[in-house]
Amino acid sequence: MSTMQSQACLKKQGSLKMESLHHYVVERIMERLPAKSLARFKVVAKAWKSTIESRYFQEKQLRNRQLSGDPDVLMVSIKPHDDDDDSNLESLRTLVLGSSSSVKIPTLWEGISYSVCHSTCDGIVCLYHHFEPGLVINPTTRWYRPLPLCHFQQLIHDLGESYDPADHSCFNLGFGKDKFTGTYKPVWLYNTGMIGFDQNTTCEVFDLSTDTWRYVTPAAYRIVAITDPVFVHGSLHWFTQCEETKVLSFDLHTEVFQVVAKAPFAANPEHLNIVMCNLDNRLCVSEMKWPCQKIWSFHSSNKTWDTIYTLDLDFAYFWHNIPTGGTRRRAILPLALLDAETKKKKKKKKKLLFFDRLVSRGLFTHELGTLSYEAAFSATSIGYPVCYFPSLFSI
Amino acid sequence: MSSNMIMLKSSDGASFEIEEAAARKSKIIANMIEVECVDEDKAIPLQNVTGNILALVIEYCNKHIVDDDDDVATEEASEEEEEAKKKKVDDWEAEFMNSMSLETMFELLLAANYLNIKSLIDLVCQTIANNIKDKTPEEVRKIFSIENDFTPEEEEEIRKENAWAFG
Repeated sequence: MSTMQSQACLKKQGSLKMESLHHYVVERIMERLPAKSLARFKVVAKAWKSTIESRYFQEKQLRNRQLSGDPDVLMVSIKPHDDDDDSNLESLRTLVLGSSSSVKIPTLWEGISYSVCHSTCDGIVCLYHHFEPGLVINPTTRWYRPLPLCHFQQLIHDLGESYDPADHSCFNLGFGKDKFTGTYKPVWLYNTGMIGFDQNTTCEVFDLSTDTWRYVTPAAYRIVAITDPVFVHGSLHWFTQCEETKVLSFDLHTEVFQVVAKAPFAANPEHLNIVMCNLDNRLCVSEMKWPCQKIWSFHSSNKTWDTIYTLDLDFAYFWHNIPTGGTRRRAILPLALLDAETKKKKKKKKKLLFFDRLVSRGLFTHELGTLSYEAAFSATSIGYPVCYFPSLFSI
Repeated sequence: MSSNMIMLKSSDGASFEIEEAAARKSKIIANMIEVECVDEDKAIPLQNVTGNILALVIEYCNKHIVDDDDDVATEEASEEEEEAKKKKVDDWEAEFMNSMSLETMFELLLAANYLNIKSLIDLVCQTIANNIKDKTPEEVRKIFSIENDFTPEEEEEIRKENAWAFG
């Protein structure tokens, strides 16, 4: 082949790209910028603003962020002093793992003792309260939209002082995303029977497009309250309140409940000692039997559990001078597996990030197969910590 | 090894000899080799790449020549070995990009995009992103030679909406 021909050959292959080169290349740089820089760069020019505000770009940016590092930690309802006065409550603080200080995020709802859905989704976080309207927020951009009271909360609200929190208040809101349509859904599932319902449970799903709660066919099993519902792969998960604990899932697309597996621990566990979490997009459950806490990861294909961590809490607590709470001990709550940088290389030596729910003063990491329990962060209070990847999403 | 060497020619007429395996990091050149677009005796002319930039591209490709075989070898290599190897490449890349001016980075990015070398595009984009992430919008406009097409009122409005990002 002659030089002319090879030249033509090269041109032909290169030409398509060259036409759209400029915008294409600039976008590839932009999608690697942190959300905060991008919010600032909206004023660079109209083309930049429209790119930064497009959903397609925001999704790419989030994916890059998820691949390039560990999540940030959002701390919700922090009590800066050791008193019980909610008026001093700080609503939100954010922490970049590895740094020694967290940063306050100013909000319009300081002083309300919000809880937070354990599962965050695309940088979006759900705050709720048992008888106050909740909020769906993006802590990065400070975008928020109110979440009206569901029927269950309305009932608690109406009952006022005659309501007995011992019966109902410890059910927790679930939050996740329909993986086919991308629709975000806050979900309340609670045991009923005593307050005018005849099923075992009642389930309410929030519809963001109509701004209303609607009932869906509930689960046939009563659920363990206390533990947070966990979002993995398009479904939310709860523990059933049976003698043999099972894992119940709610597919956010079909809105159908089903039992996915029997829990890997023995029958009749103490509810304060079991937790559920999402580690690297795998459903994990954990049981504490002082001083050991085991964490199992679920294989959805063959419905089996693998033990992935066994923590020696006595050692960890002693080392970091954490009061063990006597008989009020609770299972620690795993938050994430760290060292995401090596995710692509399938490195196995990941660190588990967790916190103690009873004391809530610090975040700790544990490396598999070692006796190392390091403090990742400590403060007077860290409120309810959850992990999230900063994004530009609003819904 | 000579049969595995190919010649590349920059827009300003400089010729470079490069191992075929390294040149194949460029999807464009790899395709040309597949469809036998490459004349064994003649250099491949790269009209959009100057000699100094092509030298950088070749330096990068030579360093990453073994990458593609790595995936096969991964299973056998021990974790430590793999980690050490990755660190070495990371260090080399950091050093490679470190001495470069922003201007050179842009030229290298254009070349990497033209030659379609994905890993180099990723590396340069990430380095430029790290470089500009703390800059002001004014500085970014200058770096990318972008004209501000907002009215002062529009710009003020957007700044207000995103005040948190300017702190």
